[in-house]
Amino acid sequence: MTEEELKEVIDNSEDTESLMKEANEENEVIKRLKTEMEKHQEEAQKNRELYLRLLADVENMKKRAVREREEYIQFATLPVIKKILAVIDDLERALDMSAGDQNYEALFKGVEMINNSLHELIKAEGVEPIDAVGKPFDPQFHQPLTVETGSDYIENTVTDELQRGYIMKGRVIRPSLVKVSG
Amino acid sequence: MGKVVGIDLGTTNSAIAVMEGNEAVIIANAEGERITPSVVGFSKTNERLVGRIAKRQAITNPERTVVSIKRRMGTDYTVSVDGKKYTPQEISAMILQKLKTDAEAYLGQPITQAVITVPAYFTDAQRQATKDAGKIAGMEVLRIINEPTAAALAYGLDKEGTQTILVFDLGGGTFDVSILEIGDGVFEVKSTSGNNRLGGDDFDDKIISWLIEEFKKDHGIDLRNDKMAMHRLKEAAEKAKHELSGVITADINIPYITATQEGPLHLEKSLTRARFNEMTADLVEKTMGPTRQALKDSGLKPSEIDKVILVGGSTRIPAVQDAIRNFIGKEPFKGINPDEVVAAGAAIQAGVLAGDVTDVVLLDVTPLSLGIETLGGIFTRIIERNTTIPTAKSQIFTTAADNQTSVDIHVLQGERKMAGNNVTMGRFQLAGLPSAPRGVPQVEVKFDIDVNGIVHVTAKDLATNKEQTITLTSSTGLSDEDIDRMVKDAEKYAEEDEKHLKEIETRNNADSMIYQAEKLIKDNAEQMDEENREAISKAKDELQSALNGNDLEDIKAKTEILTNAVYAFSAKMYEKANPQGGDGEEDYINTDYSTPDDEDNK
Repeated sequence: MTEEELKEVIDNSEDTESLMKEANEENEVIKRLKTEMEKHQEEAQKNRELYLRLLADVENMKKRAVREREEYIQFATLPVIKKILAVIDDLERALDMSAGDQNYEALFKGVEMINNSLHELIKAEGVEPIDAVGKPFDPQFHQPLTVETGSDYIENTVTDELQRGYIMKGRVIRPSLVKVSG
Repeated sequence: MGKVVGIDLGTTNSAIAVMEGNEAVIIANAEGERITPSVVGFSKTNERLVGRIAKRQAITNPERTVVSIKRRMGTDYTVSVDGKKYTPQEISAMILQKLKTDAEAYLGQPITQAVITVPAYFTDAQRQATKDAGKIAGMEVLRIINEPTAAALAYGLDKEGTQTILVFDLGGGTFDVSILEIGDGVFEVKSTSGNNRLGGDDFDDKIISWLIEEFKKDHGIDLRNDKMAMHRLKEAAEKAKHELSGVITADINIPYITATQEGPLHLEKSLTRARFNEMTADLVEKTMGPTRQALKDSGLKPSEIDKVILVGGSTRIPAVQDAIRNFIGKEPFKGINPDEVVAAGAAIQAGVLAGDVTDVVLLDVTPLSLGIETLGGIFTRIIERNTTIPTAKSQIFTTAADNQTSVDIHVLQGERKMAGNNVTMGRFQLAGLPSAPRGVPQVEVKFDIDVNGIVHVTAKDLATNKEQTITLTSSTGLSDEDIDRMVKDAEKYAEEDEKHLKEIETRNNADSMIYQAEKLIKDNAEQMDEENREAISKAKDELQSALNGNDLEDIKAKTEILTNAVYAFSAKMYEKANPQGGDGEEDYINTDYSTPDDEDNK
């Protein structure tokens, strides 16, 4: 073997050595990446599981909310109903006591008082009557049944109220039934 | 991207809906109503009024109020107000504008895109006019869809394979019947028919006419000329009609309907459903003619219709439902408010176009309740039916006997109150519990259902942390029919089951009281005087013999006697231990004493 050939072999072995080293390093990297990927996959799986559980929780909460709302609505009128029972009692007293009795004035007075207590009751619930007669006709609050021509009022004015309308907390719950000047 | 809304632009009424979460939600207007009359008015002060308010002022202002503009869509008809001409598109746009504005206030964001529904028979020109109306109202109309298609979408029928559907739409003032074929999410209209002057008001009018005739017969007075009386009759007729959808007799009471020289007159009548059906039979028949025609045009037999959908408020009338049911031979689809089903379907289509719907993760629900058997064969639910999965829930149980070292966990599913009537999913045992008096050990039973419906049941002794798990597949071997039957059975036998449950609870209570009494005598052998011992023993023996019998009331009464005897003694004990103690405190202690037994015994 010439000196040159020998040198080549040595060089080659040096190359092989460095190549081996490189390959080893790359293997290490792949291994590391693989573990990392597995870790991420596991995490993603866990997160998805968690996400689905939370989603299901939300669904179940919604269902519970609907159930609770239904229950709530069922008894929402309870406080008002309780108050109305007292009015019914009074009305029944009026009926009982006026049966066979011709005292019209006493009955009238009683019914009037009952009517007042009912008005107070709804007022406490935020219900107010709508002003109508003499006001300019406003379809937001007034529902005309007839149009009158030749009245003393100027055109498009409420001339008569046939049934009172009511507002509850700013919302018209029933418009006044009115006559309007033509 | 903003929300895309769905709009049902109707002849008489309109509605608007939007997808929220994965549900179509109807948006109420500024007046708080879920439907808006399709009426536009121009007041004398030149204000533009839309909806309920426009309808209200119509009588004072008929020549400047526009109703049923939908009938004019696609024609060159115009409305003239103060020399200005409005096309049907422009009038429709005013209705859309009101719906849009009110919905924007609700959503808190601008609306720029919509899906609008039209009748299946609308021509291209009519569809184009509807699209233009949307544009004038400031919305891009992403799609025009047929009203019957929207109704089918609302019921999710597009996801169920190829089928033929009949949509029966009896609205405020028009009647439409359509036959559709759905396949692979594609809708094809096979035929349509209808009557564009038929609706809910016609049914009210029948009742009103009847009331007027009856009143005339009774009092010789014609109410027809009395505007106020007519108004009250209309309200009463509507109310009676609605009531007759649920009950078979409606009382119509209108006090002081009018007055004569002799004094006030009241209207008091009672209308049966049979009578109402009789007086409206011709109206129902008017729906069946077009229905037969539509079927004939489609070339189908009634038996070839797979589903029937009801749309429009008047389809709530039982006679209408009966007529269509008898004709097709199938139970019509109900469940979604018939006044809102078209708008809801439009919102679903809008959601799909906006991409809101496609990404929804569909989670399953448990079709039946899951639980375990507890003392006396009671089925104790841990997870209620219709709970969305994945989910987990746990409950703590205890032992039923002294020195019980193992508990049997019998896992069941079903809706009945007794375990024996439900279906066993599996059984396992948790052994190795330390010896303890009954009621002392705490065993946590946890149900965990994963996303695939696999149920993991774990029982864990909280003292030793010993646990045992079983993995089960829910609804094993149960078909949809089985599940349905089980749910129905639970309703059918609800009363019986409740009685049985009460009986077992009474027995369990009695048994637990006897146990307590025995324990009390044993633990307090020295402190107890003869009198107390005698009283408790006697009450205990009597309860024991009552338990051998079947008289529940007797068991209850004897339990009460024993409870009182036991309390009398414990009260004395506490008095001795704490002579200064007030009465209230004793009461408190006594009630507290019984809590361990309120828990479920296992």
